[in-house]
Amino acid sequence: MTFLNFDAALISSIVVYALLAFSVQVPLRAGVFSLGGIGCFAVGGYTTAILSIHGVPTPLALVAGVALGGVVSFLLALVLVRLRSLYLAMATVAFVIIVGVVAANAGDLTGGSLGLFAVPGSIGLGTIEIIGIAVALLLFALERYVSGRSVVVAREDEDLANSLGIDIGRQRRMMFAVSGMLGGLAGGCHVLTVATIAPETAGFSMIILVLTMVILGGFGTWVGAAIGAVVLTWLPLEISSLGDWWPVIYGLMLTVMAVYAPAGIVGLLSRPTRWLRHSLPRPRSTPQPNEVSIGGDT
Amino acid sequence: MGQQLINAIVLGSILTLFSLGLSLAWGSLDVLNMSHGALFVVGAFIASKLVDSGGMPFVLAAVIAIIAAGLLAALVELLILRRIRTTFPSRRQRELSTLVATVGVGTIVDELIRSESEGVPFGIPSFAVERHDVLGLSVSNVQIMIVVVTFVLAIAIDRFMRRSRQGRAIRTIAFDSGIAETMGIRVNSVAAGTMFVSGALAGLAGILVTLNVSGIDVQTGHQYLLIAFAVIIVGGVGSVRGAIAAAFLIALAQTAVVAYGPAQWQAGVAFIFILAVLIFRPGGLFARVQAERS
Repeated sequence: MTFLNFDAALISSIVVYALLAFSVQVPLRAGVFSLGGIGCFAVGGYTTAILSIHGVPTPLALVAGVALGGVVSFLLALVLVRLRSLYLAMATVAFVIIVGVVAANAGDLTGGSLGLFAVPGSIGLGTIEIIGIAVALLLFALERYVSGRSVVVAREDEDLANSLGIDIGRQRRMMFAVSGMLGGLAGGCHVLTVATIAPETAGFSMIILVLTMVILGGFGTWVGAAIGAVVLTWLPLEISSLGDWWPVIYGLMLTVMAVYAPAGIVGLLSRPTRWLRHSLPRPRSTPQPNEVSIGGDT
Repeated sequence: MGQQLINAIVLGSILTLFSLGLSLAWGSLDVLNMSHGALFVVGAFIASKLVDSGGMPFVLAAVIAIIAAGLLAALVELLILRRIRTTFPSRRQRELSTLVATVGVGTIVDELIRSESEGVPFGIPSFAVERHDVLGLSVSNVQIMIVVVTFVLAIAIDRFMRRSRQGRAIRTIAFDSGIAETMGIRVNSVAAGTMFVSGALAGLAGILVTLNVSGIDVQTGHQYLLIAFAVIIVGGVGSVRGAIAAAFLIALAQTAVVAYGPAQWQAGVAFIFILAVLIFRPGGLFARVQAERS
């Protein structure tokens, strides 16, 4: 399967990044500011790599990576249960960094700061395509049917969600578990395609890259995360002359999208007003001064 | 032991300066400034450049660098945060956009500095470090300066926030920016001023750290940002006294780990603090009773 010069390596890395982007997009869509999926990427990657090095069959190692990613993320949800919005963002960023610190300091098990090399297991291009498509279908179903919509209710109005009988705590734990499993799966696939993993997989630059993918594409739907992953995996290879300047471009993209197109490319492609109508809260009885004084320094 | 205590006090002072700026922006404007670490590096970098290649006296260079970091923060407020505040009525969207935009700004600034400094750690060379004997312990003039500057600024900011008209205005905005506006407070001007002070504090912290450790790079800003998260979660947002207490507590723990424990785990200390506080005292060590943080 090659089109637009997409070779096997590029396709696998697109799928890996799409899975990773999903792990951030899924909770974000539910209004949960968690970047923990990126930490689970390293958890899953290291688990798969270590098991594979110790002779565990590849599929089993991958499943173990996914499971451990999910479990770690679920435990994180239990601990962070009382945190909302920005506090949650901070705590999950801290979690990602700490995973990197643990990976860099756990001695021979994780290969220290150099990471692990020459992981024996590998995964075929067909398998990775199937994994990508299956996960996308799963997310499509998840967004489309009941649980997906209750997530949007919980995001927009927690009291309303409560009164509809939606168990928000359970939903948040679910979001964390799913995010962790997606992150773990991405990490496992990453290790099985490139055969190495290093502590930098859980760090600031990874957070920035994945956040750019999700925000550029649009966090409201899995399609957005997928678009972001495709664009930002393919474009740096296509325009490689920019080299070291890519992080600056990510920064510009993040800033501009955050201010002018918060719904991302998906939001721009679909009817432009639709996202706005959905995201704006219902008119309140008292107008907020912030809304009245648009652009005014009065 | 005494020497370690001095290290802890110095680290605590730096953390206080750094976190106060972050906490000020967050507590009053709801801005989690992810570029605070970059502003910290900007202050250090500009001071280093002015002294190193410009041949400027240290104090003048430091003042210019601090003002530059403050102006950069104010510029971010004028160009980006103000737009976000006025365009998105939904608080959740505002917070997400602010988070994302400041991550973006931080990345841009980081990369520009990385390419300017060619990835090599930079210091402020011409500053003469002298060591004094105080009660049998060795203390450098830089360390004394850090503690004194922090002490003076922390008290000044605490007084300012509690007693002055402007401080009251900032606290009103923190309570409800809508009410503040109807009370005749110029929310936009106060916001720009607050961001300036916040950025200037970050720049000052950057310069002082650079003097103390002789060389920093972009990564250093990230490390301090991570610890500042812990300071804010432990101390409670917007509380000047909480931030100070948390900064010294974490500094003490971190210094103990570096001195007596597995030193490479020092970055883990911040996270352990976050977890411990969340599990045992979710409102923060100094917060009033409050079950949830949002």
